[in-house]
Amino acid sequence: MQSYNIGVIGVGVYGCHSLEQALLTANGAAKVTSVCSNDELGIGCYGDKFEEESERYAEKFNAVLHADWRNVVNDPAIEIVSVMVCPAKKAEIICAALRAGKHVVTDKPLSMTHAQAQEICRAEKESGKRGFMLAGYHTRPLVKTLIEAINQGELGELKAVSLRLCFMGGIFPGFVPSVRWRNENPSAEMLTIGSHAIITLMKLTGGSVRKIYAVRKHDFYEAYHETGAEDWATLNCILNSGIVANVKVGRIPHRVPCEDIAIEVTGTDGYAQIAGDCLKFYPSGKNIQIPVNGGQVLNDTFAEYYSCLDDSRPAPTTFQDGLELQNVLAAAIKSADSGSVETTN
Amino acid sequence: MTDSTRTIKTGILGAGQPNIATNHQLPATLKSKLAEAVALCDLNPGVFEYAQKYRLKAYTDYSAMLADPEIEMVQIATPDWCHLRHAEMALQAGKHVLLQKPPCLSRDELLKLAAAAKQSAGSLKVLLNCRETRLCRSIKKYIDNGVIGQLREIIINYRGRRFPVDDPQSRYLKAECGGVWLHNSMHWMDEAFLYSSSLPDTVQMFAAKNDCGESRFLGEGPNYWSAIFPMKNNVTFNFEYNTMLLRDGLPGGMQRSLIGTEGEIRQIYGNAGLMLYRHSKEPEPLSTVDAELSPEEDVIESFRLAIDAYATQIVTGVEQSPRINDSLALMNALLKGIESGETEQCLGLEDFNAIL
Repeated sequence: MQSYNIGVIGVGVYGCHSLEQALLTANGAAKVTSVCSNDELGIGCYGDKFEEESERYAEKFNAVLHADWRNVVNDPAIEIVSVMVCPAKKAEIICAALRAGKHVVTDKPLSMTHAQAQEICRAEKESGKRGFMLAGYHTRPLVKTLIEAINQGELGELKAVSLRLCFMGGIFPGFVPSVRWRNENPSAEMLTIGSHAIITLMKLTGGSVRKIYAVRKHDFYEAYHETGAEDWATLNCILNSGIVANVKVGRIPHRVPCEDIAIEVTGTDGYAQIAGDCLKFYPSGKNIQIPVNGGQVLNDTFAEYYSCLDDSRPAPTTFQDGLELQNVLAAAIKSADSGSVETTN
Repeated sequence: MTDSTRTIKTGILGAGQPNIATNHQLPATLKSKLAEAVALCDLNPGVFEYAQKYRLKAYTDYSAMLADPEIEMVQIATPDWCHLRHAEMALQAGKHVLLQKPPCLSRDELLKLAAAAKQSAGSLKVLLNCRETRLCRSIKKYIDNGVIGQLREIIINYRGRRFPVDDPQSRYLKAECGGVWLHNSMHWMDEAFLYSSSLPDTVQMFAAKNDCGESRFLGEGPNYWSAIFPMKNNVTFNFEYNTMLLRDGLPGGMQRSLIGTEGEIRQIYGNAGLMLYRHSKEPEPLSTVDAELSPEEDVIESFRLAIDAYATQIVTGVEQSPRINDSLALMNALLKGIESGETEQCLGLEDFNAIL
């Protein structure tokens, strides 16, 4: 596999993890050579130890630590920039990286607003470089199998999708919800977990959401409530194709063993359900069981990303997907605020 | 002065062939110690056989049964499109009316029904037995005992085919009857009301149709509904009614999730049991009340409990749950749900408390 030099912008923002670890694991020849992380890039989980942790991080990889993210973007040795900053800062940095001729890897969402996502997609197109926004459960083996079955026409024409995706076990360890965090994001868990669900829905159906009704709730955590952040969201959608999708996402305090993502898909000729680690098809009776290995999925996804760079195929989740996601999220946020059904752009 | 020990004598309309009246309501009434079956009525002459078997009076003329002074309560189990007319007649005759769901098929009918009940010397109750099944009673008990903390999300999914209708001209297959959405959904709407002790504030629904399959399972209008009902007390009711897959092979069933601040109670498709999931605790199977009953006995018992509740209400004059205003509000929510699906809008729901 070709070696890549990776520049990291944002360490420990929104959790003590970044995407470069996945980039390094999937490609033994890749190296982190340049790092920038500071308070301007979004609230971090290190509090007042931000500087110290950033230094330690750069030392770990023997990378150069920059005070200004522009130095990473403009470093001629860098080929891939991992942008793990708050959504409010993403558009500026991603566009600059693309214009500097770098491939860009980021987490969902692509940006703070739909307009910013459009700008990013324009910059990507003009640069000829490859953007990868990590999101969605379509790379999970069971979901992947289901998508393949749908694409092969096993269920006929799709009519309805029911999807439940919960992050379980309470608030992310070490994460402290704050008003600043909430303000740096378009939404809370409707965005964080909802992005995975919406991207998965898009990949399952191959379609676009036409209208959406969203309810955001503070169901579980006082710490979320205090910052105005939702921990549960219900999304009722109708797609351009007429498919109806009922989506539930949340960060729940308890755990349901073996459950990763729960999906029901109904088509004109069949029905399929992912429950726990099992995918069942009706009426064929086909039954597939694959336990979820999140680490393996991440590694496979990034390995695929590298192979896409090598042969110029689109990434597992593209910036164009990110733009579509942003469109749906914007309508969902508007709906949750207005209490009305909203139309996507 | 009321006699709290007397039984309420009841006549059952629609009891001339094997159906819900003869299979469930009649056996439940015969089991009751608070209500007493005294008459059956149906246009179908089969009513005489049922009446003879249980030594009851038989009527083929509904007006004649309504004129019977011995009968205090009339149970109406006729086709959906007859409910309003039969309930109006009974209420005008001063009878207490236990009306099968759905109580009506349109907003106009709903208001007429409410008006008839208001003007009557009798009373009206919608027969909602699902809340009295052991599963629902058990879930309610656990919620009230606080095992999942404060209830926040109610998720109910139905999967399976609709009931077959062999006569292609049947009104059950026409759009005016609202499909199985109107025929059955009141049970689950009432379940959400039971668990949350709250009425829906708004409704938003999208619907779809799969027009492949046998016509007796199809009918006009949608056959999949995805509806969100934000309730008044910070609970959301998420209901999917999926009768789309029409081929053989799809197992029917219900899936329920009750999510609270401290845990979740779940029933999964194809399983009548309940599981409890809580933070930092092992998953725990939950026992259900009346576990010794067979599924059929459970259904009969659920009807008996619903009939007994109404008999108690008639004897004591104290309205028992579910109150008629609440049931009418739930019916209104279902009707508005159809409107929401057609207009693709979220619709507000008015308070029915002022009506009766």
